[in-house]
Amino acid sequence: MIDLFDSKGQRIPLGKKLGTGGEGSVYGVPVLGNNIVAKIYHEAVSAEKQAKLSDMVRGGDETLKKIAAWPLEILQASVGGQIRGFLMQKVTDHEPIHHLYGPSHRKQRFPDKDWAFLVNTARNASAALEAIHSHGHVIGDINPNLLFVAGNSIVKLIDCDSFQIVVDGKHYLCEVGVPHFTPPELQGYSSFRGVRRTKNHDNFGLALILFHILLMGRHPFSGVFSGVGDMPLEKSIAQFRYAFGRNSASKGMTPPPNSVTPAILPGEIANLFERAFTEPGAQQEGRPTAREWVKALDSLKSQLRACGQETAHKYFGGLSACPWCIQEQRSGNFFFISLAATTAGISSFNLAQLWTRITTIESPGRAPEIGASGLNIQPMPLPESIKRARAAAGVKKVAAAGLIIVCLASVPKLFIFALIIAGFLFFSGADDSAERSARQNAFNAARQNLSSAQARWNLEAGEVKFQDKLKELLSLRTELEGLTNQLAQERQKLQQNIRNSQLHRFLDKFFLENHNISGVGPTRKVTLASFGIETAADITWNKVMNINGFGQKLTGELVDWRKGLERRFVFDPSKGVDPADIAVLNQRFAQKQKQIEGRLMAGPEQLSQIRGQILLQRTQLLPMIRVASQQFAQAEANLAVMG
Amino acid sequence: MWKVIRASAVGSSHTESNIPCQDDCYADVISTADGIDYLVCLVSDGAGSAKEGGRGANLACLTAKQSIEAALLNPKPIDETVVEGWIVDVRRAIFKSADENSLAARDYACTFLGAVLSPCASIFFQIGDGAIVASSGYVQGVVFWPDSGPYANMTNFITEEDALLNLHVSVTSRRINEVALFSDGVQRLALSFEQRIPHNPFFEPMLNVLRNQKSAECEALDQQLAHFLNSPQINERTDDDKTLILATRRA
Repeated sequence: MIDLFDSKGQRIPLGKKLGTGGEGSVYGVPVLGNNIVAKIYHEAVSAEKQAKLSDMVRGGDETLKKIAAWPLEILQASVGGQIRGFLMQKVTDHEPIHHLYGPSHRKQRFPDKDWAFLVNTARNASAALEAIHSHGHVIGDINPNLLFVAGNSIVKLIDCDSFQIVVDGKHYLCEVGVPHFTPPELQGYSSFRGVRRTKNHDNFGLALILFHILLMGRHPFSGVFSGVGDMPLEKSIAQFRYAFGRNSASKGMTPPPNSVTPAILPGEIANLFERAFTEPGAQQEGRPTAREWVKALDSLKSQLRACGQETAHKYFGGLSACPWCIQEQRSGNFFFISLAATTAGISSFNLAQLWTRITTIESPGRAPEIGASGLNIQPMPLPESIKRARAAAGVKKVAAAGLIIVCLASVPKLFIFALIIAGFLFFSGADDSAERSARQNAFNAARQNLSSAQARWNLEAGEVKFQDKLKELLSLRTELEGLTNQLAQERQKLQQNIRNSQLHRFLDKFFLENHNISGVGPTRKVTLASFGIETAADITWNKVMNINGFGQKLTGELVDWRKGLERRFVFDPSKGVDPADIAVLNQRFAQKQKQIEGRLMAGPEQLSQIRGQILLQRTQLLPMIRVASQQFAQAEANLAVMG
Repeated sequence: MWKVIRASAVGSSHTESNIPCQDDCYADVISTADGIDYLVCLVSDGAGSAKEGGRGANLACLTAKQSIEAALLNPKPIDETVVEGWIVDVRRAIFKSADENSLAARDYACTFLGAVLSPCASIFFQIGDGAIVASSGYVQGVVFWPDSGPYANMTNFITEEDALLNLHVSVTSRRINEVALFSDGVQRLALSFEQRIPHNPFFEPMLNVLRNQKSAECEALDQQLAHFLNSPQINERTDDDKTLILATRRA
């Protein structure tokens, strides 16, 4: 290694090589302590780049040094000579951001981090970009390898020497870009040489990163394409085909199956994504700024809620239910693992005690019978006209009888006429059909009314609801008691599947991004990741074939990569069940148990409440049923009096 | 000096329904620059149920032959991983063709088995049924006993998702002097399923002829072998396509 000198002419000896990238290598600098490293370029640095580095060192302030591995000092080949590299802060104990947002990575690198942590990280990433922008700089090439996150959710930016820098009015451009993180308006550029990037371009990349962080590593432009032909990621971006957008259907896109969507976010944040990923965003300053994101995410931070069932679940409090529970039930995907819940069975819950409390709550009993007995019912008197007609009819009948007797005695010849007249007199009677039908209708209505009142009485004032609740609690109790058995059975199964789970864990260590697979470049790996395929364990023929743009050739490459690894797998029967698998199982059962326990614990309260309600209904509904009974008895009597 | 004969014959069930032979094979000696002769034998049986089984078998033999040739010319020693690579190459070729013709990989379903024999080492590999019988001249055996039984109609194909898992590979430093590779159609005649050994009366007469043949006259024997595979005495025992490769370097 040649000797290098800083701008003051001090000789800077390099230590061990720590890593090598495309442009240069990073070395330790023991004389400057553990926190400073040197980046040395492989090739001679252009005059322009040398000026950029010098100006960056001059323009670096405390804010920039805090959020980024900013060039602190240039390194020259000789005193005052060619710049070969620079000193910067070492980003220790940080991981690239995709190790946090990829669910499989997260379980291995950040096992104890929940969604609240992700929201924090998203906020801090926004804040870091805000700081860059407030200095007039632009990152230009925002991508997941540029952001590093620490265990306290602080985000640091690296590769600062590629940023677009403005110092004293002089612009130094960013000449690189990652296609699947490049905004639509810059898609299709074969080179970024001479292209002036804007904050609005950066804001696209920021929104992409935030989407990945908040929504489990999904790329917003990677979805299921319903149109004809391939829809590679870059094309999808160029055509604003935001797969999770409000109008995604009109663009022929739907989110990948079982993905978490912006519906779990506050409407405000979903709107920000909408603006960032659709056509209006490409207009001048159209996309949400880093500052807007900080504000929105700060507001989300204050609205987070912990799931009642699972401590590892944090979510936006505006939702009616925990989205992670729903996701786990629907897809079996565990995005967050709770380290606290791995000890199942420890709880203050006492079933025997609780059950005693439940059984001591007395049933309100059957609803008392409410009849009309004992009521003093007077039938409604008949109208005067009917009474008179009925009296007249009596006279007519007597007259008819008289007429026949008289006729038989005096003029038997005319008997036939007398019979006709008598018949007319006898049967002409009194016409009461109108009154009768009115009373009949009233009776029918009263009967109908009484029977519905009775039905309501039995339902609301009876013990049905109480008994139903009791039955529900009983079945919960049975379920809870059966849970231990079920857990034992599942563990048994785990024992039997020990080979499969060992194999799965073996394959899960092979991350696609760390391996060369023919035909599967970085962009395709992003697409795969957004369909939940991060490691060899996630690969199956059907899963890959269902992704747009993956034909049998590419699917074959991936499947064969997996199967090739699988051939290397050696089962170790002595290893037993992996503790992590038991932990997941325990967690699942602990969650179920907590859920049932929660419902049981609410039991006594609910039962008392139902009992109270029933008793209350009895007093409140009593007048109603009384009135109905009385009305019915009255109508019945009214009808009876018609004869 | 290897003497080889090979033949494929269409099965009687295929003759009746006018389906061409779905088997394919390759058998030849490849010589490298350092003067070493390698006998390469490949047999592939296209699935009768697959639309393009015959094309699959053809692609398999063609692609593998090229891959093996390249590997033999490469100084890197051939181990199991290299053999897996040949299978992956075949799959690539099939998947590519399937993509280009809007067909499914399973339309090309075929079994695949092969042997590469050098003066002092041997490689055998196999996916699906059919069998390889190898003999040092004194000891004779079936390299991989067929996964399926003599009548079971189930087998593994090189086009399946699990092909690499179903792949049997054997790399030995043993010198093999006689080898026979055959497809499923011949399997019932050539193997004794009760004793799980090769059925010697099937091989011995043919090998005897071959051992005593001059190398230059072997080509004529291919014709005779084809006739034999098409003969009534064979056809009354099997109605499937039949492929057989026989090779000897015993004088």
